[in-house]
Amino acid sequence: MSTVGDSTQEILGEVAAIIREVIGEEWADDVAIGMETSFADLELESIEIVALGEGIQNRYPAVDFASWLSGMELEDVITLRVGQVVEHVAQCR
Amino acid sequence: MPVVERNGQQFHVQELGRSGPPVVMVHGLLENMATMYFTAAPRLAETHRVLLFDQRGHGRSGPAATGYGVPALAADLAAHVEAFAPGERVSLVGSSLGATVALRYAVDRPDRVDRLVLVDAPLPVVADRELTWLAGADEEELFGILPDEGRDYFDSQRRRRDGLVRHARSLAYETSVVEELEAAPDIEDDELARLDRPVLLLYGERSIYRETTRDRLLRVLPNARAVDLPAGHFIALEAASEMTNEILAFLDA
Repeated sequence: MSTVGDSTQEILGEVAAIIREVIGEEWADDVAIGMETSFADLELESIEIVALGEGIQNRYPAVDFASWLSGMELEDVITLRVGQVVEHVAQCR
Repeated sequence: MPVVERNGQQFHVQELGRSGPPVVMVHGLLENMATMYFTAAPRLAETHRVLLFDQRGHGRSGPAATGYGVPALAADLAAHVEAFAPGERVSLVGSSLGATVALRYAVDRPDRVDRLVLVDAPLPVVADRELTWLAGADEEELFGILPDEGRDYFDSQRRRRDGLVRHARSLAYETSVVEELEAAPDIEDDELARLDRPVLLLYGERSIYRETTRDRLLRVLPNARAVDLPAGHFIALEAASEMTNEILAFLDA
């Protein structure tokens, strides 16, 4: 079984907390958010993905979330996995 | 989340890009800044300072019961332009109703505008037909008007679908958007004829506005050219990369 490293685990925790804050609804406090969870699983709305980007850039100023998304098709953006975000943050740090 | 107060209203704003000429992007009815954030904005930000904002009652900006007429929305845009690039000329990129708003602002303040991109602007706006229908439509009808690219976003996504339906209904039934848009739906030809700034008209080949608004603007505006893109009205969904390329080429010309 593969395990994720400490720093990945730490970033995952931070990203999950930002996602919960962005959603801002009670159910989000209890939903499991892991590396394989996708934006589609969470049914993130488009503006919530923008807000997630803002939260991540506040927490990790080296990340340029908008530029990163600009290389993707819309259908890839709306189905991104949390793990892809975490890995991107880890690369930028 | 960056929130600022302009015209007594809370607005969600986002600035991209560190240097270059200023560009302000204006989204349409029932949309939000994601329309441009996911498409043209990051590419533009490589060579421009870009301001995105959610219009009142949209996205993460605060709710508003009034202030939705084209002149009122243009006053919001004016406040954003003034705060973002005081004293500078800005280029404006508007999509759908946001394009009509950008055009209203440019007609009123040509001294503040460098270049103008209108992405499938309706003129006159047809709010009564559109929003009243959207609010009253059953869900299948509502999502049936979207292109495949838009349906992907909503398919099997209960929360996203509910969000759009709730937004359409709250705008239609809890604000004066329809009355206000209907009260000032058009910009007169003589006003348009005085706008000497370069204008790029991007219209969808299958858009209902191509043969009406596009042809009229091309005839009346003294410094406009038009490019048709392989899309209907929802150009940012259907022809995002073509749209972005045209905007970049025009702003950098």
